[in-house]
Formats: sequence, C-alpha cells, structure tokens
Amino acid sequence: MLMHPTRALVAIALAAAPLAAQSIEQRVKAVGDGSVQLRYAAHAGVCGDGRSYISPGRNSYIGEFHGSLNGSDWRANCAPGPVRVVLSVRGGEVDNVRAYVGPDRDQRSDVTDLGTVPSRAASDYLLSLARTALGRVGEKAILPAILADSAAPWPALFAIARDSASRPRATRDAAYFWLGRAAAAKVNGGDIFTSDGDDDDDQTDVAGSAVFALSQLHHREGIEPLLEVARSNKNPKVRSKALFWLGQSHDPRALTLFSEILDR
Amino acid sequence: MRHPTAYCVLRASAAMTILAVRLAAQSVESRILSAPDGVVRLTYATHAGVCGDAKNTVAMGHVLYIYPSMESYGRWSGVQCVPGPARIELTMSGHQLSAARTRVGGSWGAASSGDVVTDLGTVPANEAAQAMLALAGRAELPRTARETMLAAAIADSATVAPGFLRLARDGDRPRDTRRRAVFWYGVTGGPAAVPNLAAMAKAGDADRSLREAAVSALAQMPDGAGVTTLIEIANGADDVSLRGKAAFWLGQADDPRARKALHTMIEADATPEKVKSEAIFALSQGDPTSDDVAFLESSYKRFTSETLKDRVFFSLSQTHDDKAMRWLLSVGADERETVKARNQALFWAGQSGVPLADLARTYDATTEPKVKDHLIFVLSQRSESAAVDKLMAIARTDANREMRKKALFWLGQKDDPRVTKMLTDLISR
Repeated sequence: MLMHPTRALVAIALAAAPLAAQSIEQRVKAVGDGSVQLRYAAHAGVCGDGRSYISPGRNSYIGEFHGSLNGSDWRANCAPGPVRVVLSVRGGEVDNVRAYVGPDRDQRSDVTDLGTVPSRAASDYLLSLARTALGRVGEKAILPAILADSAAPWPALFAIARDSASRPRATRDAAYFWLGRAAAAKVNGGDIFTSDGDDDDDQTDVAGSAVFALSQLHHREGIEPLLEVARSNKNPKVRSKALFWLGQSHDPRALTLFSEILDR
Repeated sequence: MRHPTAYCVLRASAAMTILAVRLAAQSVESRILSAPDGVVRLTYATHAGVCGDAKNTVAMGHVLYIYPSMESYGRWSGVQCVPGPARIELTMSGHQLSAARTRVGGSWGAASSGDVVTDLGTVPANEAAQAMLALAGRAELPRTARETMLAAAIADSATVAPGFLRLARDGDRPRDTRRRAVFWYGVTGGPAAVPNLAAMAKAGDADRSLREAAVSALAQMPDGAGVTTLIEIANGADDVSLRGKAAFWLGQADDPRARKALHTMIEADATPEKVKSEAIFALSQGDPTSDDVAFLESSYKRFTSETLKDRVFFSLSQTHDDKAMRWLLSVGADERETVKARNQALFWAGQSGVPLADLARTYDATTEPKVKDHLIFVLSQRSESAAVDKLMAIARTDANREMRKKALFWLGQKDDPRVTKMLTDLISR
C-alpha cells in the first residue's frame, strides 16, 4: 500500500524533530569517540586560510603564517567564511578543539559533520566547554566562541576569569585577555578584533609606551595607576591601551573595571 | 720467688708494648683498610703555604678549594684561611673507601649518631700522603679521588709527585681523576716535572682533556718553571685549540716572559685568530700593566677582524683600568667607527662600570640614532639611581620619539618608586 503524501510528510517531520531539538552538546556526546565538525557564521571581518591562521580583524591574526607579514600574502590568502570547529571526542568528552576560517582544506570522511549550526548556539556551547572542560580544551574553545556572529560571550568570560578554583590558568588568561580587549574597544569606539594602527600622534604614541611600562612594573605597582588611566585619561586611545594591558595583568581589580565598562 | 702481682703487671705491660709495636708497624693505609665500617679519622701536619677554615676551604699557594665544587687558581682574597693540620675523614664500607673529606685546622666534633669512628690520631704526614695516593688510585668516584689527592698534596714533607704521575698515566683511572693527578703533579713536581708535562701536553694521541690538564699544570708550577714550555705550546702545538688554552694559561702565569710572549702572538700575522683571541683575553687577566692596555688599544687599530676587535673591547673592560675605560668611551663616540663597533665598545664600557655621567654625556653628544638606542639599553643595565634619572630625562624630553619610547620600555623594567610617578605624570600630560 502506498503511503498518502500528506502522511509521509508528517512522518519525516516527526523524525527530524528530535535531531533539531538535540543540543550541540548532546550531538557531540552521542559521537562517543571520534571527530565532530560544526560550522557557524563568523563575525564580520573574520577571515583565515582554512589551515593555520585566523585573522579576527584588521591588523591582527592568530596562528601560524609563513611569509612576509608586511607584504600582502597573508591578507591575499585570508578568505572570509564560516568558522569551522573540529572537536576531538573521547568517551563522549571533548579532548581537543581546533578552529578554522576559510576554505575547508582538510575534508575527511571520518568526521561526523553536524553541518551549519546557529552561531549563538555554537558560541554558547563552546563557552560551556571553556567553563567546564579539563586541560587546554577550555582555553582553545574561547577564540571560536568569540568569533561567532552575534555572540554574547562576556558574562561567561567573567565567570571563567573569576573561577580560580576550577579553571586552569591559561583558560582564565584567555578570558582576561578578551575582556580587556572588549573593554578597550568599547572605550575607543572600535571592535575587539581590530588592533590599533600605527597612526598615533606623538603624545599618544609615547603615552602608550608609558602605559606599557606601567604594566611591567614590579610588585604590581602599576595596576592602580593603570586603572586610573583607564578610568579617567582624556585620550580614549590611551584609556584603551591601559585597558588592553590590564587585560594581561590577571588582576581582579581589572575585572571589576571591565565589568563597569562593558555593563554600561 | 717472684712476687705474683709484680709478675702479672710485667706480663700485662709486655703485652701492651707488643700491641703498640704491631700497630706502629702497620702502615696508615692498612690501618685505614682494616678499619670497621664507619668513619676513619686521621690528622697530620701540612706544609707551609697550606691553610683552611676548618670546614670547607682549603688553600695551597695559589690553589683555593672550597668543598664541594669550587676551585680557583691564581690570586684569591677575602677568605678566612689559617694554617693548621690536615684533618681527613674517610667513610669506609666493607674495607673500601666510599667517601672522603679533607679539612685544614679546627678539631673533630662529635660523630653522627650511629657512626662507628676509628680515630687513628696524629700520623706521620708522608705516610698519610702515600695512603691518600693509594686510596685515590682505588677510588671509584672522582669526587672521592679528588679529596684524597688534595689530602696528599697538602701533607708536610711528603714525596707525592711520583704518585701523582702514576695516577696521571693510569689509563684505568677515571678521566677526572687523571686530570686532577696531572694538575697536582704540576703543583708538586718542581722543575723536574716539566718534561713529563710537556710530553703529556704535546701527545697528539692523548685524550684532549688530559692534554689541556697538562697545559694548565704547567701554568701552576711554582717559580714559573713551566712558562717556557707553555710559550712553546702556545706558539707551535699541533692543535689550535690547545694553543689557545696555552695562551690563556700564560695570562695566569704572572710572569713577564709570558706577557711578552702574548704581545708577540697578538702581533704576529701567522697566529691563528682563535689563538690571538685567547691571547688578547689572557693579557687582560692578572694585573695588566699600562703597557698591556696601550698595546691592546694599538692592536685594535690594526685588526680588521670584528671578532678580534670585540675581544679587545671585552678584554679591556675586564681590566677596569681608567685609561681603558676612557678609550672604550672614545671608540663609542667616534663617528668614523662602525655602528657595531661603537655599540660594542659602549656596551663593555657600561658593563665594566664606567662612570654613569660619562655614559650620559656620550648619549647627549651622539647623533647616530642606532648608537643612542643602544646607549639607552646600556644605561638600563646599570643599577645606579643616576641611570634611572637619565632614562627618565630621555623619556620626558628627548627630541626623538623612538628614543623616548625605548627609555620608557626599560624604565618599566626598573624597580624604582620614582618611575611610577614619572610614568603617570607623562601619561596625564
């Protein structure tokens, strides 16, 4: 007996519903052992070579690039595209995270491909990994979480940065770093992925070096002055530089200031 | 009839005498080797020129040894060192030596709880020295051999050189033991040791470290007995590296013949660069004369090799001679010199403690940015507060933005409370 077309459609829809309702976490866990891949939309301006480096924005890149940075090679090979995350899973637990942007150069048949997922859901999932995973997984999950379009990572990053009891130092360092960049971008009117150019005026440039020098002083003597500069210096670029270096300080006073700025 | 009590006393007395005769007949070595497991202690006279601090320091002439691993050859000062007897402590296990300590002066303290101590008391020095040499020949651990050889070398009126030579030639001994034996052979052997040491140094098929030990030993010989041979080796050995070592040791010899030979080597076109380099350094060691300083300065002008030029800078900086310091500054300020040479000269001037005001003046007078940049680094390496003053002045007022930034970078590395205020003032301008 042939199935009625309407009933067939209903049956297919019912079968698909449980898959869509499953969270990324559940789908990753279901793999058990192996590699899982997911894709999601990247923040505007993000590009990569699909293999060894990602450029989150103008003047910055993360990873390895072999060639002249001053030339145009790396920019020419930097293709926009979705973020592709490959998770290595053992016994249902993620034990490695790799992120790529750009052409998919390493198409493998042994990878369970979850396809394209909503960027916000991907970011939330990766941040949950950063909050809970052991070893370097958490640290590695933070960058792709931030690269996701429409991501809202700051509350999770604050939680990670403050969690000295369970989060590894490197994971907290990464959280501090991006929070510092976010606060700096907000003060300076830029975005977190774009580094300052080399076009500062004389006073801003020298003040930037002085801000860096403060960040290097022994016994954390420079933290309070840096906080003061970040709060009240008249020059937003200088304030931004102070926030950037506070992001490298791993000092809880910096977190309080980041929170004030990002919550405004 | 003899009185019974008197008879018994006589017999007892005779037995004690026999025991004492037997003990005396036993060599120190056999008494050590027959001791039960534990610690054996012995004391004996040391010769003139030996001193110690009763704990870790033992010195003999120009040789200074601080237990467990510091050795120095040459002039030394600032060390508590008084003459006294040798006190040797040997750890025995199964009639084998497992560890040794050599001290000079002081007295024995209580043994560690549980240690069985066999104290041989004061023994004849020569006999003790022979025992120490024999033990050095059996020691498996180089450290143990080193302590027993030191113990032998400091013994008063002992004939130890033949024993050291035997050890040096014994291919079954560990290399370190042989090297130490070569060294002590040079120190204790007198002029008669020169031919043997020369043969060891020149033996092309011998272990390199033993050849180098022989070269070093020639330099340690009293009254400059080894200097002529050292000069021969520095000038003509088959191995350039060994020639360099010989040149180095000539600088330690404190002998006018050695210094003259070093001048000749540095001047001669035929001298390999490696040997020249060692000779330049050697000339700066010990007590270089003003002639040596002037000679090195004039040599610099003749050199085309950057390596040798650098070596002159470094060597002159080691002399801490005022004239040498001024010369280094003058090269640093000389616009006819290459930037590299100027920077090297200034670096070594800064490292050797040239007055800070001179470095600051050189900075102000210099127009070449690469030299100014380097001078900021040189200033940053100084610990005086005046260095921070100058760096802060550069950071505040230098006409060149890059110099200001460079000074700020190095100020951030300083641990000086004035820096924090200066930085905040500069930022809030």
